[in-house]
Amino acid sequence: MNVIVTSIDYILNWSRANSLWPLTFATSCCGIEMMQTVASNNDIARFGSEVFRGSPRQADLLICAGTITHKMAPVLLRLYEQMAEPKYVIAMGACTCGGGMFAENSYSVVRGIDKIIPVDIYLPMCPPSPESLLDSIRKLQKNIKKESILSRKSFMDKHEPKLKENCGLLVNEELNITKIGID
Amino acid sequence: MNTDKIKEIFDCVETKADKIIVKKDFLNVIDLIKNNYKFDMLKEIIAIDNKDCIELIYNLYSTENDEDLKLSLTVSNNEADSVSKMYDSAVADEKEIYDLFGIKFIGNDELKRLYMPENWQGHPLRKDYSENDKRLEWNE
Repeated sequence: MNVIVTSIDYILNWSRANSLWPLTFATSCCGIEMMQTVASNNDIARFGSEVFRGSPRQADLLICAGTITHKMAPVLLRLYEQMAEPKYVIAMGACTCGGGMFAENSYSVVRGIDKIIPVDIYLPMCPPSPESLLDSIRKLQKNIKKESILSRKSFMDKHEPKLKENCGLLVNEELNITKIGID
Repeated sequence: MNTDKIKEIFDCVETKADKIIVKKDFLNVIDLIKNNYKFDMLKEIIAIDNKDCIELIYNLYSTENDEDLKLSLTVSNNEADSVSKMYDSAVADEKEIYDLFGIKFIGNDELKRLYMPENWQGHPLRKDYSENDKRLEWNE
């Protein structure tokens, strides 16, 4: 049994890790560095992530590149929930990790996207260089290769979006956010 | 048209540097300036919170004579007269100032939130604003 599961894991993880399709989600200046990462000098295609998708349904990886404000937060939550499993999140830049330079005395900025959605890799810098984004993608690939399909359920339970009820400002009825699972 | 000339025409204005401070009858003054002196373009409206009062600055421009004019107005009771009937570009500016400073422009029918979420409490660019919304406690 273990032999079969391990070999299935190996194949699944190998294919998942080497074709992480990111979602085009650039909310501010980190997006410029993300564009540079795609361009020929730093060529993200070497690691299999060159296909930036415009639709969350086709994407595996959410690179959140830029500040998230209260008005943008429901959109981020909705995009995350529209992505199909397995899905991974990189918090790119200081603003998405903990508010960055807006961490004090700002009325509009969410202090870290991990208050809204789960995060796999934190990449703090202002803004991160293309090399460090590539490094974080490599680290995410290493994490994916350690996964097992048997432990996927507990992994997903940990990856529930954290707040919907305790934050009345984020969730409004127009957005009609619904939970999307795999089963 | 220089500022001294304006001072001669209107008795309700004062000049300070290149700024014309209008004390009363603001709508009449801006109407005369627009029609008689051809200041046909409103570049922007600026709001400044000076702690004791909120000041509005109207930046006018004459496309015909290539001239600039600054009109200043002090707001009382958080209410001011809208110039959106005279200048179309004022609609968006007044909306923004209402959103961030909470000044109600009488005569502008489209006053609602522009940048902030619609269920936001308070007007964040005022000096006396403090964020004590209980719905946002998770964000500390």
